[in-house]
Amino acid sequence: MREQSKYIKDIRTVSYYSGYITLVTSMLMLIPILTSLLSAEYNVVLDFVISITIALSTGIILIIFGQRASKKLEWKHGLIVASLSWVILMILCAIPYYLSGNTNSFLDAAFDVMSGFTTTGLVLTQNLDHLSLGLNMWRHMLTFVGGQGMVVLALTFLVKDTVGAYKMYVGEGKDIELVPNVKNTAKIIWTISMVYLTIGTLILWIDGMLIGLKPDSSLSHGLFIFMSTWSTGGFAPMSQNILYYHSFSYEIITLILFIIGSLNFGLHYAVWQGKKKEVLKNIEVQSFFITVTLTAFFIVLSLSKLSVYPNAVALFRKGVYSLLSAHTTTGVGTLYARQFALEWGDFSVLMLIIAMLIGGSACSTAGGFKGLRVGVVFKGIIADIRKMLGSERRIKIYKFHYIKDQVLEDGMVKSAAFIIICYMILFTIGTALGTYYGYPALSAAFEAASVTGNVGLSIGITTPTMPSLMKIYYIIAMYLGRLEFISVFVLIGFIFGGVKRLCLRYSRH
Amino acid sequence: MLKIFKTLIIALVLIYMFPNSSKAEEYANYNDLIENAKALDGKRVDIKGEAIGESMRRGAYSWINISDGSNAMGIWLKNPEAEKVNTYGSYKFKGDIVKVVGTFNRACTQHGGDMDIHGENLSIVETGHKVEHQLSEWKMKAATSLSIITFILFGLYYKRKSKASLNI
Amino acid sequence: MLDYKKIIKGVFSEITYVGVFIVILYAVNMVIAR
Repeated sequence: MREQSKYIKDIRTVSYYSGYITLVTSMLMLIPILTSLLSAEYNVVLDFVISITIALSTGIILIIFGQRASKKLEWKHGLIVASLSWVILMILCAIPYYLSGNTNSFLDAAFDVMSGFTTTGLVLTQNLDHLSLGLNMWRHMLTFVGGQGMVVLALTFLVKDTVGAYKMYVGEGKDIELVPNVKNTAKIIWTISMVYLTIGTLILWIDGMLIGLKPDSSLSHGLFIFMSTWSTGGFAPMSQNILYYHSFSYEIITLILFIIGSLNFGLHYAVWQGKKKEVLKNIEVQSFFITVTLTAFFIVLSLSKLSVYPNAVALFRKGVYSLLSAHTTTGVGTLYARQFALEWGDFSVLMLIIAMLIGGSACSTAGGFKGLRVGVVFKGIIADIRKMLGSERRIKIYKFHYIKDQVLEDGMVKSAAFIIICYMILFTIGTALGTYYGYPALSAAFEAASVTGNVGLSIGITTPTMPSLMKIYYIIAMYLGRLEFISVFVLIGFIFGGVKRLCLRYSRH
Repeated sequence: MLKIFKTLIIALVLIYMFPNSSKAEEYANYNDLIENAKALDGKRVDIKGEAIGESMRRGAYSWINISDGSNAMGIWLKNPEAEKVNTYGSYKFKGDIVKVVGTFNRACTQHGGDMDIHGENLSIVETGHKVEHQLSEWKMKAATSLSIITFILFGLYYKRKSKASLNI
Repeated sequence: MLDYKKIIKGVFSEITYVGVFIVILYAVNMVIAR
């Protein structure tokens, strides 16, 4: 009996904090409400009023249920709050999509929300070119906030218990402490993003007008595209994505934005404090530089061998651009999805798959294995080989540089390898599922890699007519990939623990 | 009489002997273009779609993007042709349905490998119009009742909070 | 911790580093592509 009341207490604590995060994130719906009011899109205003009232009510109910609980957060609470909040918010944030009529089902709406939160960028919403400004604002905002993290958002407003706050922060897939206080770390992350928001939107606005957009649309497109590229999301206000603009200058700006956006927040902070050398010494940057240059080299070689593009500039604007979009796990593009399958040839598609799986930097908005893990595992293997070859009496310490000089410990290499294995399993199941439904193997692998690495490039599989089971699997894969498994595993364990207790209770009567 | 008859026959033969080489293939579904891009590269096409977004002027030419309902394609046109379009599709408007005849490029040499159509001429098939988004009655009712519920719930929360702090 | 001067300098150096990286990739592209 005592075990059961402990379990209920746990649920209350989780409920309280999940409710809090739900509440704070729901307040964001005020922004699309304002946008639609200013644009005289009154039906959309109603959609969001309905949604925000449901969302706020849910948050408050969760808080009320947890009001009596202990506010002390243990590790399991922190991790479960993070993973559970994402599920609750996925459902709540899908309501405006569903009410707009642009999604074929609630599942499609939930898919697009999860795609936004995880900064993936795959889209099931229809009729993008006629979407309301309010809904477009919402889509791009979701990817911007999801990139930073909803927990991070909520933590910036948290007034008490910062000891437990760190545990929720880690649950969302981050662990870097910019400053000892996690609340201040969250604030710094937001400051960095807001500074770039201002600068990035401004540059896109100006260039947009130079390429022929009207001032008002250039501003809204600039804001949306900034949010999508900085968060390495992949959404765009028009159905042709970046191809709509037919502009090299616009593409270059997005390129700079999404590469910077894929970098670790710790790196930004270090550089902003004046430690410019961090950019060159950091193991992730080195890993990224090497893997990008290698994959780019092979793709350019292969594409030019097949004469896919008429000149070198076109090759850069299509080939290298797509590669960088894939490797940073952004997912914006200037090609129609089917062109990868029809024109690129298997080798280049394979290079893209590898790039998508490796992904970007840890503790950033990017997805994939993360450069840090690839670097650590690689160095770990080299260290092991050296140990075998070297004298058995010498003990050599291997180091790497990540914000500060660190020792390459076995435990670190093991955890990094473990997570990489989880990603590989997720990827393999996704590929198998695609082939089960009849899609060609390489295409199934491409889409699975895009989902697992939260990339967003599509080879044409992701459409509203896709089998529902695949949609559900992709949602789960995007979610697991983004939160980096642990917090979701703990959530599942917690739920199963509760179910087990429930079954035991009933079996006794 | 015979002479007129012979001329008529010769004229008819001449008309039907030469295939209509300038007849372009008409496309209303752009998936056909994308799937067959290699085969259609460089060929003349006749494409129909709704003008969306806005035109982007680049010197003496402009871009307009047209949609078939699910995909959109870029058309590169001389300004006087592009200016024929009055209404562009968005949330509030259904854009002009246009028909363009031009050359299809799978990976345009001039435009950094973009898949596009260099249009020769554009004609309006159907003019666009404003789209009325009627305010839904059930949504208004739902919004009002849900707002009331939310306020009540917040009230409940604050009541319990002040009760708890009073008990201390 | 962070003041305006440091922020501007930081943003500027980040954009520069990334810009250089893109130029390197562009050069590689130009050399290999026929």
